Amino acid sequence: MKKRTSAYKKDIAREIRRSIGRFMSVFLIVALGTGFFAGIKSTMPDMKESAADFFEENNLMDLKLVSNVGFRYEDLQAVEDLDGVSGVQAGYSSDVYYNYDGQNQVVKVMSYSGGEDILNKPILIEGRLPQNSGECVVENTMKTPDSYKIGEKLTLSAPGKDGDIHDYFKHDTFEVVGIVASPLYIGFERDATTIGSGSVNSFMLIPEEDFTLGFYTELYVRFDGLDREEPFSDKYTDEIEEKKQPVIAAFENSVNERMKESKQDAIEQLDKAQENIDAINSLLALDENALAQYIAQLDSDVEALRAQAENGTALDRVSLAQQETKLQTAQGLYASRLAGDTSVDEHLSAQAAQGQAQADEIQAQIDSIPDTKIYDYTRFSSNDYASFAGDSEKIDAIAKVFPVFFVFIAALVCLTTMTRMVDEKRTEIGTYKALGYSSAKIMAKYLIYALVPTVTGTLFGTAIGFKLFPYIIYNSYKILYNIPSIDTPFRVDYALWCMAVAVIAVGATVVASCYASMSAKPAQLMRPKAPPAGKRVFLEKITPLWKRLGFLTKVTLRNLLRYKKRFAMTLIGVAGCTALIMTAFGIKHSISKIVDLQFGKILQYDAVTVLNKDSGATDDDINALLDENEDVEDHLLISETDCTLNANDLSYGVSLMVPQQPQKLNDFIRLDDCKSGDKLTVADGEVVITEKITQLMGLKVGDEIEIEIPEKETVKLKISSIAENYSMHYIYISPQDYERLYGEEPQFNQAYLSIADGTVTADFSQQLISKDEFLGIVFLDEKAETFFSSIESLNAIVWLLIICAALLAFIVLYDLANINITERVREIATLKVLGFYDSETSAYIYRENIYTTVIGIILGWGMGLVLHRFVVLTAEVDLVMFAREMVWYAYILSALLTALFAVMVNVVLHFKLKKIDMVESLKSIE
Amino acid sequence: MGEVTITASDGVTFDIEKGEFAVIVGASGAGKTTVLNMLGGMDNCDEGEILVDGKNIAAYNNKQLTAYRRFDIGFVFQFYNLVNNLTALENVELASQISRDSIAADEMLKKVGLEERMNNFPSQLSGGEQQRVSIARALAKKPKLLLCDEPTGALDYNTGKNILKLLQDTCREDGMTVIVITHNLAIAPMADRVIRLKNSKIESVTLNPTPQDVNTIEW
Repeated sequence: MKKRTSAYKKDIAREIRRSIGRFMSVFLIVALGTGFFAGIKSTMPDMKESAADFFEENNLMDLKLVSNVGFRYEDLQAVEDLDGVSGVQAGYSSDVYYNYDGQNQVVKVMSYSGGEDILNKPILIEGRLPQNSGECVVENTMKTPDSYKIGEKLTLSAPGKDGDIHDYFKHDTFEVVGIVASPLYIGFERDATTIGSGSVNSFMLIPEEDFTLGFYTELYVRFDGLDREEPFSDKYTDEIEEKKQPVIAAFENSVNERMKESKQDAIEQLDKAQENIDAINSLLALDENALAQYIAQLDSDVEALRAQAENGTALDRVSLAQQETKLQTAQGLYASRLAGDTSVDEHLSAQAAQGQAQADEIQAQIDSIPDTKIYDYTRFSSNDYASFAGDSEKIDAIAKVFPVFFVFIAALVCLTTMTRMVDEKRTEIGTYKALGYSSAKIMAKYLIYALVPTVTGTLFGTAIGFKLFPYIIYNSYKILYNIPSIDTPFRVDYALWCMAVAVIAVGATVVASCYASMSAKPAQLMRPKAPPAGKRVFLEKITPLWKRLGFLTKVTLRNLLRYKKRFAMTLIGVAGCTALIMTAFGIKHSISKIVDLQFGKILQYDAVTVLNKDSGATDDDINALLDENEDVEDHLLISETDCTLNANDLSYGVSLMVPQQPQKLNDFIRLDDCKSGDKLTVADGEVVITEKITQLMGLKVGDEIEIEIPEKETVKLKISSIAENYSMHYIYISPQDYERLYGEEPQFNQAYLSIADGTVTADFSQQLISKDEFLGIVFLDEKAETFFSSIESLNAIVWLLIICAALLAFIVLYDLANINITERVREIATLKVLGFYDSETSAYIYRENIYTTVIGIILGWGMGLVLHRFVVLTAEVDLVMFAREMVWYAYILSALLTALFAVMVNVVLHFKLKKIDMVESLKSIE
Repeated sequence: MGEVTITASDGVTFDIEKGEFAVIVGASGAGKTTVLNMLGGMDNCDEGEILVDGKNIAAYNNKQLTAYRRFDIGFVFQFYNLVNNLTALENVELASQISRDSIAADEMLKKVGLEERMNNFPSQLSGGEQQRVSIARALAKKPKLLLCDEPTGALDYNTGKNILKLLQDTCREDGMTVIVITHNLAIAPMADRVIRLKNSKIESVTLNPTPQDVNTIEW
C-alpha cells in the first residue's frame, strides 16, 4: 500500500491537467474512432430490431393465403385448429378505382375489423380508425393524392365497363377519418393488381361490415414458436416454409369438403329438373287416343290413391296431389286439343324449354365449380421486406471499411502521442526509478494517463455514435421505408468490444513505447537522449534535382523523411480526410447523376399513359385514337407485367416489358449495350435485360433465367443482351416471343407518348384522360422530380462523412504538428534567436505540413477512388444503379477542404509557435 | 559601430568599445542570463537604455528586436544549437540566407577550419567542430556584435581553448566586437575588458591594456 501514495496519484492528475492538449487528442481520436465504428456497426441491428419490434407490436402476419374460391367460416376454423397456429384472420379486399385529378388510381380497399388482437394492426398517424359504416382510413405517402386528408369524402368506382361499386361495398363514398400506415407495407411497393396500371397506388381500410362480397378474399395466419427477434433470418424463413404446408393442406381439405356438398346439391337439383322436363315431353308426345288412355289410367290411379290417402301418411297425400296435378294437366291438354286449340301445347313446350334452360344453368354451375387455386404469400413476398434487410446489411458492409480505417488512424495517433510523451519524460522516469519505484509502477502511470482518455473517449464516442449514426443513416433511408421510428439503444456489448480493442491497442502502444526506457538504467535515463541524427535523403543522390531545390525545401524534405513513422501517419490521416470527402461528394454525384442518365438518356418518351383494359377498346382502336391526336407525335403500346425473376437461387422483382412494335422501342426507351454502348433491338427471339439485375444475380449473356408471373405458367428465357439502365429492373421481349411463351397475346396496358413541343401538358392530359380508354398519364418530368427527391435524402450521409473527415484531419494534423513543435522547441527557439521573423519561423514548420498535405491529398485521391467505388457498389439500393465514375469536382472539393482544414490547423499552430520563448535555446539539453 | 552601453536596473552602466573582446563573468545566479537576454534582443527591459551603435534597443518592439537579432547580432550557444537535420554548410546557410550582406557559407566554414567537414551532419561532428559551425553561423551574417554564451561550457579543456582562440582571432583580425559570457574567471586575462557581475549588480569593470594570448592562459 505504500506505493499507492497520494503523491503518485497527484502526479498523474497534474500530468493530465498540464498536458490537457495531449490528453484531449487521445480522448478525441479514440472517441471519433470508436464512435464511428460503434455507430455504423449498430445501424444494422438497430434497423432490424426496430423493424422486428414494429412487426410484433402490430401483429404482422406470417402467412397470407388467397384463393379463387374465397374463405368461409369453416375454412377459418379448420386452419385455426391446427397446431402451431396462434392467430387466424380472414378479411376482404377489393381493388377499385379512385378518381383524382382526372386520373383513375387503383386503390386496394381492405376490411378493418377492429379490436386489440387483430393481425396487421394499422398504425394510426393522424385522426382515428374507422368505427362506423361509411368511414375509411387511408395512407399518406409521396404517391398518394392530396385529397387524402381527414374529413375528405372519397368516391370509389368499380372496374369494368358496367361495374357497380355496390357489388363490392355498401357505399360508394367514404369519409376519411384517419391516416394510417400498415405493417404489411413497409416500403413503396404495393400489390400488383389486374386492373388499371397493373399496380396498386395506395391502400384504404373500411369497416368489415361495409363489404358486400359473399366470402372472405384472404386469410392471414400467424404462427407460434417462431424466432420473432429475427424476422429477416434464414431460420425464420425456413420455419415459415415448413409451417405453411399444413395450413395450405387444411384449407384445401376444408374447401374440398364444402365443394363436395354444394356439388351434390346441384346434381340433385339437376336430376329433378331433368325428370320434370322428361315428363312434359312424354306427355306432349302422346296422340289423342294415347292421351285418353293415359287420362283413364291416371283417373284410376287417383281413385286408388285417394282411398289410400284418407287414412294414409303425409307422403301418400303428396303423391296424390302430384297425380292430381298430372291428371289436370293431361285433361287440360286433351280438352284443348279436342277444341282444336294449341295454346296448352305451346304453354307446355314453353315450360319444358324453361326447365331445360334451368337444367343447363345448373349444369353450367357444376361445370364452373373451379379447381381450387391457392396462392400463398409470406412477408418476404414483399420486395420491400427483403430489401429492408438488404439495405441494413449494406451499411454493415460499409462498417467493415470506414471504421477499420478510423480505428487504424486512432491507434497510430495514440502510438505517436504516447511515444513522444514517454520520450519527454525520460528524466522523470529515471527519477522515479532512482527513487525505487518498480518499472511496472512507473509504466502504470503512463498506462493510466493513456487509458483514462481511452476509456472515457470510448464511452463518449460510442454514446454519441450509437445515437447519431443509426439516426442519420436511417433517416435517409426513411424515405424508402415507413417503419416509423428507429430505436437506438446503447449497446453495451458493442461498447465493451470497442473499449477492449481501444484499451488493448492503446495499452500495447504505451507498453511498447515505455519498454525501451524501462529497461534502461536510471543513470542512462538522466542523461539526454541523443537527438535523431540528420540523414541524407535519397533525393540528394539525384544531384541535379537536389541542387535546384531551394534551401528551405531541402530542409523540409529532410525533416519529413527524418521522422518516417510520423510522416507516414500524417499522410494517412490527411489522405484519409481527402478520401472521405471525395467519397462523400462522389457518392452524392453518383446518386444524382442517375437522374440525369435515366431521365435524360435512357427514357426518351415524354409521357406514359395507362390504358383502360375494361373500356373494350382494341389495341387498334387505341392506336387509331393516338394517331388522331395532334399533340401526340408518336406512340408505342407496351405491356408491363410485374413478375419475379429466378436465377442462381435468387429471386428479384422485375418488370416484363413487351412493346407492340419492338422496332420503335428505341425512340422511347434507349437500350444501349451496357459495355459497348451499341444500340440494342428487341427482335424476335431476343431477350434484353437491364444491367443492375444482372449484377445482383450474377447473370451474363447466354444465362438462362426463369420468369414467374402470378397465376401464369413459369417460363424460361435465355439472355441475349444486357442494357444500360439506372433505375428499376426490366426484361424486354418481343410480342411474338410473349405469345409463344404464354400462348396468348400480351395485354398492352400502357402507351409511351412523345408529345409535340409547345403542348400545354395540363390541357393535354385532361383531354386524354376524359376518354374512356385512358386511365391516367404521367409525364417524365414529374417522374424525375419524384425520383430525385427520394434520393436527395442521402445528403445527410454525405454531410456526416464530411464532418467526420474534418474531425479526423483536425485531430491528426493538430496532434502531429503539436508533437513536431514540442520536439523541436529548441530548434525553433534557435531560429528565433537567429532573427527569423514569426512568419518565417511558422513557414519553416508549415512547409512540412504543406508538403504532407499536398502529398496526402494526392494519395487521398487514389484512396478516394477505391473507397468511392466500394461504397457505391455496397450502398446501392437494389432498384437503382449508381453512376460509377468519379466526378471532377470531387477531386477539387476534397483537395480544397483538406487544404482548408490544414490551413486552420496551421493558424492555430502559428500562435503556438509565437509563444515559444527564445530562452529555450539557452537551456541545457534535457 | 559596435559600441555598447548597458544601463542596468541598479544604475550601473558599462560600455564596450567597437572591436573589443569583452568578457562578462559571474557566478551562477549573478545575472549573466539577464544581461545576455537584454543584449541579445531576446527580451524587453522595463527601464534603462541599451545603446548599440547609437540605437537604443531597449525601446524596440518585438519586430524591431527580431530585425536587430537578424542583422546586428551573432549568437554562439553553449550547446551549439545546430539544426540536427542540416549539414554544417546548411546550418551556416540558415543564417546567411536571411541577412542582407553575408559571407558565403563555405568561405565562412573554411575560415573556421572546417573545409573538410562542410557536408557532415552535426551528429557526425565533435563538440568543438559543432561549436565552430555555430561560430561560423553567427559570423556569416556579418553582425555588429558576437554574443557568446558559455562557448566552452560543454567542451573539454583543449577544445575550449581552441574555440576561445578562434573567437580572439576573429576579434583581432576582423575587428569584430566579441562578448563572451562565462562563469570561468580564468579566461578574463585574454579580454580587453572584463565586466564582473554579482547579485545582479555590476561589481567591477576592468580594462586590460595587455590582453594575453589564449595559448598562454592555463586553468
